[in-house]
Amino acid sequence: MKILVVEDDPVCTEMLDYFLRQSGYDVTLAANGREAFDLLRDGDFRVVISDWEMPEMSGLELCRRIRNRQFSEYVYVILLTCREGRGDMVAGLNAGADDFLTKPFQPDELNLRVGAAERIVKLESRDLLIFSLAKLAESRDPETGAHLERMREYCRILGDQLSKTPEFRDRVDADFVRTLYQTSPLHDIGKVGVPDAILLKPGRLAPEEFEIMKQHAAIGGRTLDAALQAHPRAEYLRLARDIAWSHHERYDGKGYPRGLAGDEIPLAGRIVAVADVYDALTTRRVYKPAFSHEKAKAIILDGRGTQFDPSIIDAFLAREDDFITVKESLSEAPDEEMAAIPLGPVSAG
Amino acid sequence: MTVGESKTRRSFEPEELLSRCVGNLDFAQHLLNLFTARFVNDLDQLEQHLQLGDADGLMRVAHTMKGASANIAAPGLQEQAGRIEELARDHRLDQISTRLALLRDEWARFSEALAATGLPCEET
Repeated sequence: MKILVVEDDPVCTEMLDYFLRQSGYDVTLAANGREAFDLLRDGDFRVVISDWEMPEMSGLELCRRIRNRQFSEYVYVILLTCREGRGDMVAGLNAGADDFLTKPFQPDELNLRVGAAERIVKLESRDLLIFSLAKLAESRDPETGAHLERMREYCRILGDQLSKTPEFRDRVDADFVRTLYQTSPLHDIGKVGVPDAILLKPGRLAPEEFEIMKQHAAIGGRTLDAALQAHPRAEYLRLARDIAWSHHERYDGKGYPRGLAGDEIPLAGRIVAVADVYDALTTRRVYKPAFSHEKAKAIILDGRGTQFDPSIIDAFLAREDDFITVKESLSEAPDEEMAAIPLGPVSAG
Repeated sequence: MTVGESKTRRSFEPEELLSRCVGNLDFAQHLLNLFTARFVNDLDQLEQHLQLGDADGLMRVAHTMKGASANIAAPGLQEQAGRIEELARDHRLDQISTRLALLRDEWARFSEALAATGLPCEET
């Protein structure tokens, strides 16, 4: 990560430069706010550590300009203060500072503060990436606009329920549920690789067309796997990959693309499978009306142990009311209204 | 590394500096070299700003000296530079001349204390 250090005192500059480099950061030095601002416009710094009082342009003014400029990515600003200057922190916060480091500092504290900054800017990158990919997926999704929103809510409910069961308590924690919520909208990202003629076909797909449609799971899985190989520590990419690749697998091994069975199917994929099918059943598609909750429930229960993991079905039954609430609060039109719309020929998707 | 009497200890706290340098003696030496070179120059700058009656210049240089002294674990210099910064901020330039003499005295004490640690600097 690139860090811009703005400081006019050579001793402090040297200390920051030395310890940040020791921690593996790419450090650039500026002697005042004006020089720093010029460097910021040309570079891709995510973190700035700036002294408060400097010639030419103070740290406070630099901070204000950074916030007014609105760089393409968020720039995290740590202001250096002296002990007696702690009362000025309100001014620093008003100017847009994110954190403060009191001089003289200990290397441990410097590392902790910069580590926190790094986590935050990475989080922003992660959320932006997920959001962008989800929007891309949405643009290629012929289903209703709120499909992704309902999907992730259903996933959150199922994850939350599983986290309370002895069987899954150790594997499904709040972080898993949160990441599942964020990444489940990427389940159909592979549809970007399906030709329009097939993806948007209003009628039933021919067998060979359906085979092409089925490829979206592997396309999405492989795409996200490539991103994961480049960033092996990004757990959200691992979960997103598992979901994209396995949400059409069946518990009995008769699904696609790999024919995985039982626990071979990643847990996130088994959860998304139930959420995805429930949403498909309870919303209108070109080939079917929106089914009632009861009808959808009956179909899903029929798939217990064959199409779906029985544990996920148990979680679904335990939180049935929450599913209904989400379905009703995020539906585009009442069931009856949708059911009254003339239907086209049956299609697959 | 030991430092003599309490007055000298207050001028320079080498253990504190070494702690900030995570025990890296060479790096501490390097910082001391940077500090002493800059501080001598800043003392002259203060004199010049005082002669010109430049309160802003005095305040800025004194502030930098205060921060650098704190970083190098020289609390006596930090305190004296801080007093000059305050006086300059309040435009009480008539009192700075006396403070500047005290800062120079403290600089001499710091240099003695530094020499006593066995870490003499190139510029002292």
